[in-house]
Amino acid sequence: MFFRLIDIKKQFADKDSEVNALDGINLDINEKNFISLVGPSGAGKSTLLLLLAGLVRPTSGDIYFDSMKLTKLPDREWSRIRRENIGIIFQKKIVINHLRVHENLLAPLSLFDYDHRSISFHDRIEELMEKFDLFDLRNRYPRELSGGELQRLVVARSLVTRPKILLADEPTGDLDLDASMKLLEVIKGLNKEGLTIVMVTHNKKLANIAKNIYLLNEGNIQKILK
Amino acid sequence: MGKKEKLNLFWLARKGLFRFKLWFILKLVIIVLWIFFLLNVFMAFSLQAPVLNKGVSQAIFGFLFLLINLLSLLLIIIMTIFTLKLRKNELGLFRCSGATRGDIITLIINESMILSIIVMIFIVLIEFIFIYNFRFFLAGFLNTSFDLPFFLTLLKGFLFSFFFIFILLFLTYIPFGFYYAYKDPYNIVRY
Ligand SMILES: Nc1ncnc2c1ncn2[C@@H]1O[C@H](COP(=O)(O)OP(=O)(O)OP(=O)(O)O)[C@@H](O)[C@H]1O
Ligand SMILES: [Mg+2]
Repeated sequence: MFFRLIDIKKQFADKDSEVNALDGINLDINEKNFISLVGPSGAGKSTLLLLLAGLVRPTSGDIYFDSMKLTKLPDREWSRIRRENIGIIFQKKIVINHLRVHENLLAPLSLFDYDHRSISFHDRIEELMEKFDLFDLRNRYPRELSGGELQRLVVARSLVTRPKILLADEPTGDLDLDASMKLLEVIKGLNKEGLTIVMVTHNKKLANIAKNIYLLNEGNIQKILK
Repeated sequence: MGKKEKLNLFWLARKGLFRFKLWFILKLVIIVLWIFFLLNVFMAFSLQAPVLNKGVSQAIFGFLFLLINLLSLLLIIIMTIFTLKLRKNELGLFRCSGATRGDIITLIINESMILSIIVMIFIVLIEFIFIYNFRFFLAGFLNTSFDLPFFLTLLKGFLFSFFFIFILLFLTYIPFGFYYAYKDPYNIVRY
């Protein structure tokens, strides 16, 4: 068992309104699992993903990671766990605009105690650029990339630290179906190699690639049988 | 095997900072040079002014001096805000990929040190060029000879204002560090 969520609730409170983004989520995520999260817009999919990443704290409930209770940990420990275990693809494609493609890939590695010139770091980046067809674009700035290329950069960056779990919020974004399938095949391959994946998607067909599908609706989660 | 040394967060951030900020800094430098030029012209004209007693001219000089420092200060604050605002993705992403609050604060402090030093060198140079070019005018204007004691007095004034600028730059920069370190990481990059 990797992640265990127990009765997680998340409320966003404005001055005059309150949103129950998550309303009592119970979920186990096992190692090497591949989960698709589907559900209507505003169902709380992104919120759940951010919660797993430790970027959103639950209003109530507990999160366990490797039988460690995360909810009580200080920020520094969350950061460490995030750094060492988690790769994230945000719904919005966020990159560092003034760094080139390969520097963008390097950026997360700068948080680790290795020299980026060491063979393993460089190999890692080359390997990912190869895998995601970014090699010829390595010296470009993000503003010089197409939407799909940017998408691939964001996916590659989430993997650069060799995370144990990948949290992907619509990793296929605005790719067409063919390109999406191609990208998902790569992701599926990573799962076969042992990466745990939680993926949010709107597309039923894409969701079917995963081993398990969960439907999120109005803050509640339920498993869908394939 | 590569050496086991830390891939420098600071180094990578620096690379970006200088690359994308260079044109911006240059623009500001040009603006400031213009202002200095206008000040010089103004001073040259005031030298023609018929009767200025020593007190008044010294007051004007003091005022100009203050103005220069205030302008430099403005330059610094604008630079700080722009660089940090434009770099929110970078800082936010570092946080989202697992940088601790301490990492971010250290990064910002290092950066503010470097920036302060660069800006200070820049201001020292300009002010010295300014004073040196106009030393005879200045001496006449201030009704004094431009000798060593006078020069040392000026120098003391400089050093004080540089120190002042350094502290203020530091103080404008540091709160940003804390702001980005303590703000919700995802909310930094989200908007
Ligand atoms: N930071 C926030 N402040 C206030 N409300 C928020 C915040 N983040 C999310 N919400 C609200 O929580 C609910 C769930 O949002 P979430 O982003 O998780 O939806 P989603 O399932 O990812 O939707 P989509 O498919 O459109 O991306 C929404 O009603 C949204 O308005
Ligand atoms: Mg979403």
